[in-house]
Amino acid sequence: MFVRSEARSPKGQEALQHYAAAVGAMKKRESSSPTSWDYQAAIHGTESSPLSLQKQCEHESWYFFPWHRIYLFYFEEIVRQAVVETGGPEDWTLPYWNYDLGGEFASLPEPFRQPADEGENPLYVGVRRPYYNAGGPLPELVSTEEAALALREFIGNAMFGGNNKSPHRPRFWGQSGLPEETPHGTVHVQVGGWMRNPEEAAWDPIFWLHHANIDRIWAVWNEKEGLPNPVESGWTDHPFEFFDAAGNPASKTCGEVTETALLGYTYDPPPGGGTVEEVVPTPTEPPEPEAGAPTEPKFVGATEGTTILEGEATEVPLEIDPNGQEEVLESAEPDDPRHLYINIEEIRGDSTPDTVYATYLNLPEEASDADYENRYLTTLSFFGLERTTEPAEDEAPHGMRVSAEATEIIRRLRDESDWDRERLRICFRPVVPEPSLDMPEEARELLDTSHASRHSPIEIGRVSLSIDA
Amino acid sequence: MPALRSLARRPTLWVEAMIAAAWLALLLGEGAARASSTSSSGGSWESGPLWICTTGLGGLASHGPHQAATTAPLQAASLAAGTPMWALMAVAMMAPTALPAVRHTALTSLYWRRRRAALEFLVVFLGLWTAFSVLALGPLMTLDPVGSSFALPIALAAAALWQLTPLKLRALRACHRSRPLPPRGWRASAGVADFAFHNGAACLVSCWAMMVAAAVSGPGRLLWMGAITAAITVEKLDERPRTASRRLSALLAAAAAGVALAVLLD
Repeated sequence: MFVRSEARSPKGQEALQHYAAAVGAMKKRESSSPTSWDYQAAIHGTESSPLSLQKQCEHESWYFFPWHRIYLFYFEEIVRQAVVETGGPEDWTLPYWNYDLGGEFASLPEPFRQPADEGENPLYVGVRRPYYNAGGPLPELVSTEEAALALREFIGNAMFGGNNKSPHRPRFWGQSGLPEETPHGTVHVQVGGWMRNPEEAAWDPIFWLHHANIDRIWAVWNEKEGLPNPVESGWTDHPFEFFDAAGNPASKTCGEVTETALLGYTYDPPPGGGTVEEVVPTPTEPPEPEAGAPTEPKFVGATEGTTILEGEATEVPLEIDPNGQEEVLESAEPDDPRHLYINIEEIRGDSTPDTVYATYLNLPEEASDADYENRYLTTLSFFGLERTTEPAEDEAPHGMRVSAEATEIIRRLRDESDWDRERLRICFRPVVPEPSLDMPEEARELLDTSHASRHSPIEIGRVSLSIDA
Repeated sequence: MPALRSLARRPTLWVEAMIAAAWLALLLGEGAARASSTSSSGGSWESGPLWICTTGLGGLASHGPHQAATTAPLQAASLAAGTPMWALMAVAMMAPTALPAVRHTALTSLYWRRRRAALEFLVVFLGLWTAFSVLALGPLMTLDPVGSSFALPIALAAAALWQLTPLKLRALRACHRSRPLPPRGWRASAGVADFAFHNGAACLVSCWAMMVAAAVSGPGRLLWMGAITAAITVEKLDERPRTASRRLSALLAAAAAGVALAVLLD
């Protein structure tokens, strides 16, 4: 059983040294070789004409987690071979970057920043946001996995995994699971540079450690929730093809990668708890599927007109229809089985902006720290927006959509007598890191210039309020 | 019982019932036309689903389209009387392809106006198709070559070529796009109408050539209509527009060659 370690752990640091040597070797290979750095990165996306199996990344759908797990699995095999060829160990594994641990863990691991020379350091990328290359930590709203792990369903209204995307099932929007937004998309956008663009992201060596962490989050969530992955054949039997360490095509289906044990690896600490030595490399039985598809939510209110985000704080009123006002309050009762959702719909734009937005409900003008905490809904990254509205290859275009559960917040607003039964205020706030004493001096100096920016408009067609049917 | 409850909750159940009723009406019309054709010349291109139209025109259309086209007032009367038939064809053939959009409209509207929103969508969507049929297909049917045995293979071949054009692909991709739906009042209705118009226009550009083939298919028209409805529906359901349009192009080309061969051997 292979074990992936956190990048700052002793094993992780050792693995990073070998990773740097292997990346350097892979960058020297011919771009047309499937085991080269360029080819592997282009499998995710490329601005050039794609070669075989390139530009295949899956976002805003239920394939996001399995596609990236298989991608990392074969990439790890290829890098392991390069590690061995450069004198490293045969049990090398890809480390993960667990930014949610906070403190120094929230900043880029040092080997990706020092030495700051692309010729000398294969892990350094100069086009990243300077603040992060200077060791600045990610804001908590960007790096947190708490909201992702609190979700209950892989597919649903506020979901973990993304919406159903079978070839013969028409859908009018692409909807990611919440972890795909935070921390996945938010970290992509905040690190910036190549990482902000799906067509360039995988060229940055930190991409792979970031995705190893996203893969770990899926594994932790599966252990916590008892493997509630899709059981539909359109998901379980859907194959994705990559290249193995020998450069030959190899494929796996989503159903073959529901657990890391099926692929012969785990994380340290293991997703199910305990120690690595206790991990049994035997997959567990998935639960029996529950009958019926998830029910469609009932819409009870929405904004009028389009909301434009251009890098500044923005608010928009959401009118609750008189027919639904009582039902909203009933659904907010603690013993009511229904849940309330805020849906950010028909998101369009030319490209992913370099700003992520925290979204709040009824945020006061002079908001306290408690207000920011109690009224926080979700963080929007818009990562991959261009792929949704103008998809690569042979895919139909869609609007992007994000749904987040709002039951607790609405209950709190009601309890705090800050509830207007006729309307809610949806508040978008750009997320900017706060200066702190333990932040490197250079990062603190770069804080203002590194994050202050306007960007091309992002259109939000509608924000709506819905209730479980 | 859960299955029944789930069925009853379907926001598109009444639309599906309407489509079934339209096909039933077309089948009955076909039967009636066959019965009447045994006592007259029979087998002419205007029989079949056009029975509803020809009934509306009394004895006029029974003399054939060529005579009906001889004078402008008669032609106008023919077009007006044909409107119900074209509307019926639009319901039978195009409403199935719009079911995902109707469902999307219903489910993203306020809960208590789901049915109304679905109805508003269909009125605009089918209105566009009916207008196209009355104004374009109707006059087309009065042209001499349409009565020819080669009309169908030529129309199928043209449809196969249209499938390969960039405009067709752009339109088919646009069929997958939605628009924001305002929640209440006249803005809600206007929003649904806007979505239906753009969706219907994209559908029209994408599928017009196949509808022409269905309209000129002559004897056996109901079978052709059924096959083309299935083909368009599958194409619009597919999330891979380029693959879907090319696959359908190949099918249409094969059908054109097959029909042309049959005509030559006949």
